[in-house]
Amino acid sequence: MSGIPRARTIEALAPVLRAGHLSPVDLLEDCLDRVAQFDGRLAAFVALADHARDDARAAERELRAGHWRGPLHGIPIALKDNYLTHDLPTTAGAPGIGIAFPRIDSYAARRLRQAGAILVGKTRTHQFAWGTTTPPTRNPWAPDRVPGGSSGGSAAAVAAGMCVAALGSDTGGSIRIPASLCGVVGLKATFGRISRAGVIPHSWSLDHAGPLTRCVADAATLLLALVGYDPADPGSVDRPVANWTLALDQPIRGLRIGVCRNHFFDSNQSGVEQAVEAAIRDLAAAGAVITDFRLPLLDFGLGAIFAIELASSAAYHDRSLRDGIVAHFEPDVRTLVEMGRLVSGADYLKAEQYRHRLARDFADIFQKVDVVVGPTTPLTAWPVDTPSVAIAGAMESVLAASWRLTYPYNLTGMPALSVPCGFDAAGMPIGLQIAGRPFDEMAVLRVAHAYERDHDWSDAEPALTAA
Amino acid sequence: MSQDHGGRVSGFEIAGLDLTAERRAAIATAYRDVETALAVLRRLDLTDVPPMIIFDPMLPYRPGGKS
Repeated sequence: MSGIPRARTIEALAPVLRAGHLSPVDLLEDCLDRVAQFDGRLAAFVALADHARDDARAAERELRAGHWRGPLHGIPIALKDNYLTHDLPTTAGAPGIGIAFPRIDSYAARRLRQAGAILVGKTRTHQFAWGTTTPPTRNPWAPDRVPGGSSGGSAAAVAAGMCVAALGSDTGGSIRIPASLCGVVGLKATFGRISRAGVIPHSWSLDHAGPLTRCVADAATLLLALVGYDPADPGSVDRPVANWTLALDQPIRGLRIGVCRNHFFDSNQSGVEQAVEAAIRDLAAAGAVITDFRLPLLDFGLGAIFAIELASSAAYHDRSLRDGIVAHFEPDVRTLVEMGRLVSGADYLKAEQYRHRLARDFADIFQKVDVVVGPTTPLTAWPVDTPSVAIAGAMESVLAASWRLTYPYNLTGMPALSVPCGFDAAGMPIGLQIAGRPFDEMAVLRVAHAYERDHDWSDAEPALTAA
Repeated sequence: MSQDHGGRVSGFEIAGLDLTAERRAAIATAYRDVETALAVLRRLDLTDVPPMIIFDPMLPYRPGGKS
């Protein structure tokens, strides 16, 4: 459609929408056309908003009248199906099993509407955000492969251009994993930065809300639209907000980049390892100072994330456990929820003690570095219904491997972002993960933007075919 | 959770799970990986480290706070 910039980013679209060179109605129609063409195969959406066209027309009227609300005005954005909305049902991937969620707007939905965004629909989540495959959604880069999860629908929808951006949630990596596997940007800001009010809980102390976008600047724009103290979320924090979008172009010369050589590089597919090592070399060539370090405590982290996530999930689903509704959950999710009852209180609290120690160790590291980089996932998108794949010469469960490099930053609450950094031999996207000290999203976004600007990975688009 | 009888079965009962033998077996199998990871965590001595969770009995009294 004429008038739509090839990049299809907020960064590129906002100026042409504001200038009247493109109508929000035409932009929305283009997204809906792509949904009609491709979503039969990708299954990224579970619902489309009936009145999105009305909203786009209203945005058009406002823009014509010169009432520009900001860079999200007229931008089609999708929400993961665990964000409550007053105008669309929310199912958390579990429709028709006897659980009803309120028809009210989540904090994020409210903020996006206020910013003039067009909420185009709801994207598929792995049921209750508890898994990394998001069936039956498929990966736009290869429809026989998974999109990752649990925000797999959001990542697939953004990668396929069916919306300009989307929101996801991240408890152990659920924004960054699908972002990595689908070749888009995924940002989990510091715990407490973005209110989770109205997002179906999975694990209260690990859950984060955040954006999936086509470029780093768009992630910064959405972050800016969503941050702020919200007393409705007990985890929300009242901290100063910087205009991250204005600082993206600051050079990274002299910035100190840490590389944790244990855990994050213990066992990765060769294509992932090569792409990430190349990215680290490129960051060094751009003037960053690279410092290798080791964090032995990471060897103990899996038990901690298991204990907290399983126990929290069982607590949240207690009513479903009592009433037998779990029998209608997807089998993998049912097993996880039931297992949560077996985690002892002592193990749960030990996990929380571990978390404290890990956060302290990272704080020590951040005396010497400004950000930490590494792979987002040790593997690229794997074929659907494949329980295990070869990683570094050994067969490994894809579920165990997929969150290994992301969950440490849920335990510590640090901001972390995945940005595309290449493709493997099969043409599957690879993600570079950049993490920062709490509330220093600026450093994370600067490094990601500097890397993205010097490479054209984000310009690549999947060759989509209609169903 | 290596067996589906004996002392471990009481673990299901303590946890308040009223399950069929088939479900118990499925959960026991799935829980092995969790148990292995928890055993690794238990090896750490964290005696002097307080838990990360924040205890906030004042929460209901904060503006907009919920109990």
